[in-house]
Amino acid sequence: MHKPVERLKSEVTVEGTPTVILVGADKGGVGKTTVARTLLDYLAANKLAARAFDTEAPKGTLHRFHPDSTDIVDVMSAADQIKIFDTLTTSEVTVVDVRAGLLLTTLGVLRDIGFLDVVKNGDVRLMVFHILGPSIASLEEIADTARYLNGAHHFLVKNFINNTTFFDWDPATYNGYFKKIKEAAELAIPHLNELANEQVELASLPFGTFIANRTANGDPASYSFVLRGYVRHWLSKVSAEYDRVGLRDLVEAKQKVA
Amino acid sequence: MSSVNDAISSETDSGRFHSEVNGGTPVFFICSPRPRVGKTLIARLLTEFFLFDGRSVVAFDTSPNDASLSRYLPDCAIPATISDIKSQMALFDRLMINDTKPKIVDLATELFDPFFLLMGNIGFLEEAPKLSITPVILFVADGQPISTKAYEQVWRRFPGSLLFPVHNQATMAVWHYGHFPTRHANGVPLRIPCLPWRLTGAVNRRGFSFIKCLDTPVDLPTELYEWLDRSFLAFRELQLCILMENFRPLFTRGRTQRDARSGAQEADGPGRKGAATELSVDM
Repeated sequence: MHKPVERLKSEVTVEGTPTVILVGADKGGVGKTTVARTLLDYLAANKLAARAFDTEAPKGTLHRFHPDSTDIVDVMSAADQIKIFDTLTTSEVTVVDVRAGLLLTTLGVLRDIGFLDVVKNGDVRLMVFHILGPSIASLEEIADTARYLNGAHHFLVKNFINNTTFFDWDPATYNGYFKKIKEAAELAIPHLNELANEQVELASLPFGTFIANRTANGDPASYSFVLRGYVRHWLSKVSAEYDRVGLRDLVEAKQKVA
Repeated sequence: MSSVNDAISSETDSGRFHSEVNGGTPVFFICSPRPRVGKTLIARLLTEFFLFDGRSVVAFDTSPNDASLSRYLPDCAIPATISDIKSQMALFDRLMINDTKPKIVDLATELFDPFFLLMGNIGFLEEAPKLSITPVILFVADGQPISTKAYEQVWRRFPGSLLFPVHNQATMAVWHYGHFPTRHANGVPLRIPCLPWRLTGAVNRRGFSFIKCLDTPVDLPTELYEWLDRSFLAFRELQLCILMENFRPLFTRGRTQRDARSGAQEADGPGRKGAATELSVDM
């Protein structure tokens, strides 16, 4: 069962290889923050300590749902880069919700500061959840992104939460882009009923907290059982997708990834 | 605290303890994948059984084109559907209220599959016991293979549920024990006696009430009393059966403790094996 995400920041240094998960796309409105939220719920449900950074400075989006575990940062500023990448060992997993249009730029910064070399050496595990949009431009980004990801795990995420279609009428076009990137794994986030999604948005809670019928401070709430049931069922399918690609095993792997 | 009280306490905490004992709420789903097997008649009978007992009851009529339950019981039957999420909320959110009022859902034949799919998806049977709500599925059986198959599907889909096959003798002369196994009551179905054909016209008349008949005995044929007697007795047995099912963890727990003790004694060497067979509850 999914539990509410608690503050999981740790003062102690974690054992094993820390994991950084970048969630991004070069287009807005494709559901980056939704995917980042599901990841935080998944990690919490699997008792994996996670912290998050929201790069939608200054207001933040992910921060609204996970205020206790999320800091708002400007990933382009050196001070905030230090805040994120010089403290990786304080948590098993660091999730970065990358602002729309900044995925390639962020990867460029990571290359420039030598972070990608560290990943290549296996000292840090990098996963990129690349959220795809229903456009050719979005598909063209796949190859651009993959160029930075030597030694990293690349996940191509089709987010159906808003009933988006992905070239259903022309699978050849779609598959043509996918075949170029053999190392990438494909993930699908299923559709969530609009009313259920809207209620979680309004509640500004982690999915797990909404399912558990709790308020942000842990008090009993009175959300609709049916809506909670829809969210529970949907989140279990999302978790099954993460399990399918071995996300938990990847995060928990102690040895260096060569 | 005695071990039986411990057991009751732990079962109450986990929401498994029977609603009739801890002030919870039973929810009955009367269903069949086949039409004209007597679902609405059984829903009417069960609703009036509780009313006759002096209890408030809420019934839900999911037959969109033939609101028959609401037609017979306009004061306590509410039309319901699951066609959209707001209707689903109106139904299931109400079923999730622990107000001690028994709830009865007369499930339309065409909703059999989508209803149980939805119920499984939103986790109704898992969540209800946490609120001291006891869901009970009354499956009105008949001799058709589709019925046997659907029963098996419900059995498999909801392994921990209180699922009772219903033998309506008016639609099924001989009971096929092997086709509708039960987890409860030694395999005996809930048996509704055959309503004499002479009475069907009167009973199906709009606005007919069984309780009103019981209140005005002079004008009624004896056969109806006998039929109501036997039907209500069947519901009493059902209540008892549900109660026993909810006590089952107490005995299972007692047996587990007994087995553990027995194992420990055997590990310690030869001892009082006879004592280990006593039920480990302090009254």
